[in-house]
Amino acid sequence: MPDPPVDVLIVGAGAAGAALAWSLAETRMRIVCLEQGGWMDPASYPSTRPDWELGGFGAFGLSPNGRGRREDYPINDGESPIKVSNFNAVGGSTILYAAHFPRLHPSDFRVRSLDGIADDWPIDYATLAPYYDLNAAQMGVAGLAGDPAYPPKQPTLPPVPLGRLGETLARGFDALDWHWWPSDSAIATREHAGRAPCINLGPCITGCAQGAKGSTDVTYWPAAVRAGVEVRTHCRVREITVGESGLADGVIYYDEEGREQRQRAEIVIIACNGIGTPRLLLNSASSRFPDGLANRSGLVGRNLMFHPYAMVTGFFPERLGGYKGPMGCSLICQEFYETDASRGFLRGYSFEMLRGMGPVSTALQGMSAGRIPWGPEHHEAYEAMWDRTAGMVVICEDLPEEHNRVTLDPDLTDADGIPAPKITYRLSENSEKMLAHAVARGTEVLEAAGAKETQSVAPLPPAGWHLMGTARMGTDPERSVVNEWGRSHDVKNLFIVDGSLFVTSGGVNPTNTIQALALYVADRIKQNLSNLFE
Amino acid sequence: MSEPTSDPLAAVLDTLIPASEDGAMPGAGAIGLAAIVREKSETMADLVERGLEAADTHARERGAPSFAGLSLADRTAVLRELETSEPGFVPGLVFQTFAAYYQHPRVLEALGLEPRPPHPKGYELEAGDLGGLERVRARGRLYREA
Repeated sequence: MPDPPVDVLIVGAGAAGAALAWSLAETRMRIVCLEQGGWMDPASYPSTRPDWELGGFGAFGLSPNGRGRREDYPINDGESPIKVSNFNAVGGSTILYAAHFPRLHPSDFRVRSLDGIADDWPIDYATLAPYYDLNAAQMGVAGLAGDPAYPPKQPTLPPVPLGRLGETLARGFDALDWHWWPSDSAIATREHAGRAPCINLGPCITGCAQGAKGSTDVTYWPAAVRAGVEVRTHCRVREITVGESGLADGVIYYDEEGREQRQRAEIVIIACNGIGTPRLLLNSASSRFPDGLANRSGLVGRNLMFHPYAMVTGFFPERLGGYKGPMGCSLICQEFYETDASRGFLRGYSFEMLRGMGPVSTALQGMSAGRIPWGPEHHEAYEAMWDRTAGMVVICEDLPEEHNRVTLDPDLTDADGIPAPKITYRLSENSEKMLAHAVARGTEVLEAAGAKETQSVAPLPPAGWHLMGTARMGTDPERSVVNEWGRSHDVKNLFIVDGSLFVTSGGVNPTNTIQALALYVADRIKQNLSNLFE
Repeated sequence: MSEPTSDPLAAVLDTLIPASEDGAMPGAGAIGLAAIVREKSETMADLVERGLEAADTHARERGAPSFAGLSLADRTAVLRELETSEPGFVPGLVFQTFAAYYQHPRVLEALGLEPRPPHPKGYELEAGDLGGLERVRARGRLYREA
């Protein structure tokens, strides 16, 4: 006898899968989550070691192609100026994210109506607002109420300290009369739900050894597991199978020893991010779905959106203490977020301030930028740069374009022989103009803050953190992959709950919205359990 | 002159990062980084050996018994030549030397830092002045209703 089916099978234990599992746990259904990575040990994170600054070059690097971890799958991103950054573990990419946690704006859900481009979402800000609030409580969001760039919202915890560096940059925004506000950050600035408070270690993007950062292995998952959800680690799903009825009936996966296993399920929910989800759907092609599962629209894998990033760095005469504090979270500027067609592009962007660098990073980045030589001039050049840099990243809204897409690579496979994804992506003219505008404004504000020199990189190649749009939601089955609550138009017991759902990208980090969407989809599932497949 | 050492690589490191003129910052070779840099450069071990031999050859052409016997100015000149004649030798060592040097306790203390990783002690961070936000609030709503 084969094992009985579970009620709910979730593929992927990252930001979205965790929030969804936690929400569904109250139903007492049998819920299993398959995750290709394992549980992380915070004691192994680089910030516990003397060589902490080199963590990003090895097993904690941003690119799955360079980490050398079996848990990762390779991604052919040779045909994209932006390279994919992700992580595979319980917690997914929240293990390495900076925890910058803004919401989308109300206008982000109505891009077609307001600006005549792209499409509107099938839901609006008001629909997601209660789920943003719920997510803030569960993830522990630090911030400050009253930001005029948003409808009223109430962060759970006090804001992350600005430090001398943040204060210095704020002076620049004040001088230009531009917006700025302390960042919403999924960082426990004081003890929260059993998590120790942030102690300003700095390198959040190689994992938080303190456990203060809201990665879902320390937020949603412990509660979900206590409530009865089973997380099965080191299990890589090859394909979703479909029964005679046309419903998904389970998955085939490889366990930690590489053995093929089958898990049957009544409901299958995919939470593998904007690259992994279309990869799995395309790998699940069958005679009934020859172009990939749930792909009768032909849109699975299409409309891939990153956020084109730029980085602008200022060199200041004074020391800024920038090696201390959450590296990606101090303050945000949304002066140029909403559309102003006179700028020469539509939609907009955010500035997010960065802290400075540690001693090794200063030397290596100074070397690669040609600012710190070897030889007799070394010390003088180093002294001019050490603890005197501050800057920002620019997060530009990316618009959906069908030619930007995820397909299956004909040759590349992961360690289990499963075809790997291939990315085909190019920057739009709108993005190019937005990046140029942002770099000019970023330079301006750094100079206003006192920078004596600036430098910029645009686009920033390794900044493919935000993976969106490849299984978009909508009410029209011809123009979307899932409906307005994440259910496949083609397969009535198949759901998607990650960045793939995004219709447009906004100009902020997407994790908060990804999780709010997952909580919203979970509520719709719970409300419709009696007629879920109709 | 570089400090005497049994490893000829130390003289190269003392050339890549020499001691500062005021003595506050040590030379990279003088604080014993040669063994670490060799270990980290394992994948380019042949290149390192070839580069060191070439450095000694250049030194003998300048009348010194070895690279370590040259003045800092001459050692710098030799490494500049090797940047062209031994591609990869100098850049590879620069990366590893910079990385090792700025982890060394003596160097960190000279920079005003405690020689420790960030965790578990962490850092104190000033809250910062939020007074400028009154101006931001006074400008009114920035988002569009939709």
